[in-house]
Amino acid sequence: MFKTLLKSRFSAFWASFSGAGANKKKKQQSMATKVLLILLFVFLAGYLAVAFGAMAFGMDIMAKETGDFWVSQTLGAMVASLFCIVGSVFTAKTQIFESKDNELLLAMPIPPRYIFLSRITMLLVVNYALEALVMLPVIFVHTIVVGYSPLGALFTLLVFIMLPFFTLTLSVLLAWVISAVSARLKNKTVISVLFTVFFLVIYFVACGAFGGFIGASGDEEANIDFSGLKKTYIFYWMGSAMSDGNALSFLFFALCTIIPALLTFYLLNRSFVKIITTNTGVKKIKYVAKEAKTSTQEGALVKKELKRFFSSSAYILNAGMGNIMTVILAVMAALLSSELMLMLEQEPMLGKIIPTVVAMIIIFSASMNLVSAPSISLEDKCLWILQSAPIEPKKVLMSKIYTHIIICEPLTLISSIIVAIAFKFSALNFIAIILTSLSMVALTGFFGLFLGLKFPKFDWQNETVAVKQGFAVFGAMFGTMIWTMLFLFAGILFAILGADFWIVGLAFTVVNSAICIAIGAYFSRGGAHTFANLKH
Amino acid sequence: MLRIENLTKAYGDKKAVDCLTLHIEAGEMYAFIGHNGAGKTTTIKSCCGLLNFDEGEIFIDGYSIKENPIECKKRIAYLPDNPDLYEFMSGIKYLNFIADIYGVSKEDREERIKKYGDMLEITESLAQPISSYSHGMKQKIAIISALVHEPKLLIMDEPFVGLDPKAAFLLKEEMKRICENGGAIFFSTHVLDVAEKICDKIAIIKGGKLVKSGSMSEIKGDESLESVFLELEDTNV
Repeated sequence: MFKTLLKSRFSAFWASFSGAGANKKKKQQSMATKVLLILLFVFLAGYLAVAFGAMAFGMDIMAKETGDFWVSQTLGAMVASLFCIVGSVFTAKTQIFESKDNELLLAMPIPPRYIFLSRITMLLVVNYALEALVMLPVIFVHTIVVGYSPLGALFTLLVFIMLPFFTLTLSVLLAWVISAVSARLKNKTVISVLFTVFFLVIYFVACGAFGGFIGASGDEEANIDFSGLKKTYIFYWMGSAMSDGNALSFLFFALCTIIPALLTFYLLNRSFVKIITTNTGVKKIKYVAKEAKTSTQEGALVKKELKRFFSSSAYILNAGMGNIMTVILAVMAALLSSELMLMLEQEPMLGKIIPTVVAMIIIFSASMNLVSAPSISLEDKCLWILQSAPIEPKKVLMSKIYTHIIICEPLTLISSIIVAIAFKFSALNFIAIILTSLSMVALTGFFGLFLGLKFPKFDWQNETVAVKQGFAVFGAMFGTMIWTMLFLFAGILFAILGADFWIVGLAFTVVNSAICIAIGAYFSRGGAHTFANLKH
Repeated sequence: MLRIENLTKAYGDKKAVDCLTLHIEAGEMYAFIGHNGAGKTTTIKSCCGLLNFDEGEIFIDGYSIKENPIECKKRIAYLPDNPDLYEFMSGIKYLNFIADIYGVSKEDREERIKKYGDMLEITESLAQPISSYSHGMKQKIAIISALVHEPKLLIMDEPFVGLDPKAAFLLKEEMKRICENGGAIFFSTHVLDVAEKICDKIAIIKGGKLVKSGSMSEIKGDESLESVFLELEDTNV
């Protein structure tokens, strides 16, 4: 029974990525999707491996001088833990506390502990995968640069096995708190968004701190004090056990990991049924008739899309986070601008390249907003409402584009203005960065919706799957990423050739606009037909 | 009001609906009955422009659903068998959204939402999010949304499923009133008693083919609709 439950959980998990389990035509389509998804995962894993490997390399090289071999392992364990917790807390929330099939499974003759265990096992595997992305490159680099003692190697293996228990315990407890708090709130979106922003801030602070260590390690004159890191206790014990083969450190780590994990899982298992069957619903609001406000069809459709976006924390966090990133990056760029401007005065060639790089940063983060890409998949079972209503399909499609633009363009515009002022752009460059970034946001919207229409994902149980996964979202993300890189290369090439940034910026604006117009024209004909014939 | 001419729709090799012809006039209430998988939902979805069909034609108020779907959809309201609505909206927001889509004036929508909300006893819950509604409450919202623009033709797939007895009774009364005022209703049901009591005409479908249609008296004679239906089910098409 447990095996069957586990199998179904993994099948659902895999299907959420690959779109498997659909009809024959979709199955053929999903083969291509699978290959592409695997390639994307390999690319992403490779990218992370290089990033974390480089971090470990810097630390290990420095450790050869100072003898602090545990630092790279401790920092690796910290990043891996953060990665695992951030990566699995909301999955834990939806999989354990708010899973849609909880009631269905409870109604079956299945012991609740099997349901709980199958979910915990699945989450544990997710944690192992996330841990591997960080720790394997760190361990690999440490093996090459420093090497492990036999006891250190054994402890490294054991730490690798036990770390996900530590992170999963924290993820599950946090998910429990988030679920309990949000169940009592009318606006559940706010709490989820706040928690995620909180995690993001911790993540950026941690990354900034690691960056500081790495930067300092490259400075031979710097005298770095790692004593603060020793106060991270459990992480220090991990690093010490792995690099030095310190048995006492390992013992402390093991006790701090296994005891809370067993206690948490035991308590959760005991109260699992109570937790998922307790109705903590919010107080009912009594309707008081108010004067109705009328809208046009287009207005009603845009309002509907905006309401959908702002009522879902999953949608906001996965499809709209680029907005926050754009502003953060713009402010950071502005803060660093004075130092960079000094460099520019000494090196005229950099002055030519900087506008391209700055614009690329804004464009890159703005194109992480994928509001339109999952919007077709999100219609799902409600597709009949729009299909049976007297609305031109083009209006439905364009409402999704307008929503993307309303959500993404204002902050992109503000960010572009901030960096253009901070870096004292010329008038032409000023106009070019604004037009390029705005046109790029529009292109992301059109291209994302185009893919969403061609590759809708209607087999999701939880809307996070529709927003986060599927070919449309991945395709839009990587498509715009590649396009942005092309922009960067073109900008640098033109700068080397002596051309100003605005030439490349305006050229890209023209191309972006042309692509948007072409996709818009498709929405009027073939796209409208495709939408009208979509089947849930 | 609704003319279905030689409707044929196949899924792969299997014909879900096979050369089905049916005419529904204004003022008529037409029940569509058949066992599970007989082709009722396929026919209904084809009438609403939700499904492309292979052969035949469907006309609503003289407009072809293939050639002029928007004009057809302006005249109809569709109530699906499962009321999947926008869960992120409240009941009132959803009804206003539908009213906006159909261009219902402010005064008309206010009056109709109050009228049908009170009738189905859901007015108090209209501010609640749809995600918190029970199946029956969602069905009531779907019914109000179907009636809010006063359609000429109401097409419903199992409209009584999930409704409490009082709401089912009130819906039947409202259906009669719509037909008395010149509207037409075409609905599928498994509740033969309902069909027998309120419908003027009935169509029985089996294996995608129309096996019998006409006025209630023509179809059942002195027998009950149930025995006629069961007899037809036992015969080969």
